[in-house]
Amino acid sequence: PAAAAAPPLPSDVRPPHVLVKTLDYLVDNILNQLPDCEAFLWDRMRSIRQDFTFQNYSGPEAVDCNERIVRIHLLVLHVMAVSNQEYSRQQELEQLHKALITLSEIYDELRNNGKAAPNEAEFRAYSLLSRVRDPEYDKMIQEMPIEIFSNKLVQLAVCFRRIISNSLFSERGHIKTESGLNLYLRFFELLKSEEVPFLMCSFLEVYLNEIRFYGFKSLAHSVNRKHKPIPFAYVIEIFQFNNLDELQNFCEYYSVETNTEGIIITSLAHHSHILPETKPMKQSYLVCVDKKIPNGSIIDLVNGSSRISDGNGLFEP
Amino acid sequence: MVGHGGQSGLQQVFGSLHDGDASVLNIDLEANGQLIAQVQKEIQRFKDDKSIEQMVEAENFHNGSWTRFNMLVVSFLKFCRDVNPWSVSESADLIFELYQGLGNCLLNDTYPVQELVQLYCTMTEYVVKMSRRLDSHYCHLGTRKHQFLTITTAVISKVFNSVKPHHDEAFVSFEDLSQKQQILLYLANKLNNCYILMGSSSSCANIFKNVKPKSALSQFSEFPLRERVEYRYLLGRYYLLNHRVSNAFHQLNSAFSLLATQRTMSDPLRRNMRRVLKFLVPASMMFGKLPSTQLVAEIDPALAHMYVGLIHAIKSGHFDSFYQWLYEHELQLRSDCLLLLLLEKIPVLLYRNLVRRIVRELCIPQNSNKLPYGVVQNILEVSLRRRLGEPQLPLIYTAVHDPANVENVLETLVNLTLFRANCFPLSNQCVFSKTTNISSIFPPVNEKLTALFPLNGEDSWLDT
Amino acid sequence: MSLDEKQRKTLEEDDEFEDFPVDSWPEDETLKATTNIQATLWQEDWDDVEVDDDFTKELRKELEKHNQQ
Repeated sequence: PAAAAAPPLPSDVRPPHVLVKTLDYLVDNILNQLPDCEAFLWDRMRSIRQDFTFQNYSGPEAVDCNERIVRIHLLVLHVMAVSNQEYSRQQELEQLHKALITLSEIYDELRNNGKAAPNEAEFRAYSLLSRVRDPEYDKMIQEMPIEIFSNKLVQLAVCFRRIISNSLFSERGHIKTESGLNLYLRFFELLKSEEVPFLMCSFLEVYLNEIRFYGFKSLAHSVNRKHKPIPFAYVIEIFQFNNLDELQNFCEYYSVETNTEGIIITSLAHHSHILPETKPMKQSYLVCVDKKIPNGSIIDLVNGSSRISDGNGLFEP
Repeated sequence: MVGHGGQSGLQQVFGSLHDGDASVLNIDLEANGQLIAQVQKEIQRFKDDKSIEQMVEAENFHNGSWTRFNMLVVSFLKFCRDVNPWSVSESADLIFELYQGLGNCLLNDTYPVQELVQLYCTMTEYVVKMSRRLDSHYCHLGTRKHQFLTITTAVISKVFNSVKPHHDEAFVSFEDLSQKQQILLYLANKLNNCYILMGSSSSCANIFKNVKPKSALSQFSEFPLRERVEYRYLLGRYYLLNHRVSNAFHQLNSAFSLLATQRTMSDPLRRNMRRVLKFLVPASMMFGKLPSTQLVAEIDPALAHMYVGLIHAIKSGHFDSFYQWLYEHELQLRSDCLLLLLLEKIPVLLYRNLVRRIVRELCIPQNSNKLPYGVVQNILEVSLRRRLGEPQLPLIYTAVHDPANVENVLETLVNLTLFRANCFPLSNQCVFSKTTNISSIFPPVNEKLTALFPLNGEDSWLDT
Repeated sequence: MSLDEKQRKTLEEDDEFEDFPVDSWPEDETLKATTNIQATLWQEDWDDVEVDDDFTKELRKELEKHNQQ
């Protein structure tokens, strides 16, 4: 229902165990129709979350559904970046973020009651990446118990936040802070490595465009103003563009001049990766990430190994 | 049943209130227990709330025009009647009702609110302490985390918001301010202390933004020293939580300066200095300033001792000892919210100092103005190399910095103007101007950081 | 409450400012003037401080290699 609509009748709200079944159905029967079913999935997942909200329910079924919904959004982000179909990335990200906030609230509540959910660390890690420049999240994670803080995914997410801390980053409402490094080479290196699992890579691809933009800017500001053109092959290699076309589109979008020898990097004049009154550039993807999609079933990828609602219940830490 | 001067407890309460002395309403049993006990005995004969209300109305305080004041007196008497002196949590409802009533009295300046300001501050001290104590047992009490402190801050922030914004009337001096204007900074500090404790730094932002427009003083320095120090200390911590290093340094350093305007080193003064130094020392290092460990040790030997290792690592550009130091102090740094901040802000300085050493010890003696990436990469390998026999560190210390980042590192240093050079990515080297004056190639860090990340203009008022 | 949390609690409580006796004194009688607090709390910067440790020795050895090239 639309935001302004009246709340549904109690009889129209599905109880938790039905919501789990609904999501099971989507995972088992609809997920394999991506990218075509993106809009359908988005809508159904939103309504599952809404039904939990309407009944103010935060039991194990809500944790299970929200966790799997987050994973589906992460998968969808990559699949849609690869595909040529129209979709609203902004809406995917919005629902993803909301699901992560719901989860954080439930995890906090569980912790206050001396309990913990088995997959908390994984989703705390995604939270760290969903507001990647907000210091509140650094505060949040530092206050977590050591078993969360030392989790591998959490540690990786903390690393990525440092890798792109980049003091040149500029966006409305963002306050630049001191001594931020711009280690874009490391960003690509880690995405290629075995260390970072597919779903996390898929999330990080969301930042691909800005990583490349500020990487360009980093080069543009550090070279001599009369620096000779940088060969296309070199730029494709360090910024992991999939092909020359993609690089040329990028240059065109940001008004970076090129000639037959390559890219005139110092011609980059924009300060922010967001161009006012311009449609955002389509998100790119990395081949190395695409290769990480597990050979087996994406159903297992989404369901994960420990479902809180089937036996892997809450444990006392 | 007879108190001072032969009066009953109730007579004493009412008499003082008629004289404009509200201190009799203090609910702190330690300070006012005798009177409260006396009133408790006398008030038992009132069977219901109604009769208490009638008795208070009959006193005709302020000609009966100030309803909220009467309600306050009634809730004080009910507190006296029902308080359980052995259980704070059982009396909490009574105390909050009274405290909220007192806060409500202060909202409307057309009444003689000045009579209540002192009592309000006394009560605030008491209620904040009580809330924190109750909140620390929230699991046991079955309440939400910070539930009591949330109620308390709601009351304080209402009073804070009711301090009239400054309009065009001429500025006055502190003594001429209304009682409520005088506690503006006190209220701001109380709120910010609570908000930091509750982890709500966005609420702090709102308070910091509103103090100046509400103040009727032209100069910040007219506020009492104690409150100015605390305000800057809290603002400094707020900036640290937001990773704004230059601003944090400026505020914390000013707070420390203000403390140093005292003559005798009393114990509370020393403890406050420690509180400031705990955050000022790391802020100064991220800002490119080196604290004198000897002087820090005079105030806080443990803190000075702790930071010796970090100072050494930064000076020498040694990544492995930097990581080792963070790892050894991880628990404490995490609880002070400093671990990830240092992890983010210190490496640039390590790189800067390391590259500076290479230029000084290799390039300048060779009369060369070129720095090959390969040399830096090689030296980085040495700096990052784990000491023999040391155990592997967690990922946050090992997965970010790598010798292969050399190109990006040098670009970052050049872009932050910490290394005056140009990068030549195709020939894999940096070129800087030919000089033997190394400080022209590596200018002082703090100057460059202030130039690139200027102080918040909204705070310039604090320096007046 | 876990050990972590307990430690954090006491640390946090310790962070809150406490009341201290304040008075104003002639400028030349304050701690600022009578001790070297503040005046020399900050060494100018860290650039010209010599460090001598194992790492420096290793560093010199590596630089020596490049010097010979």
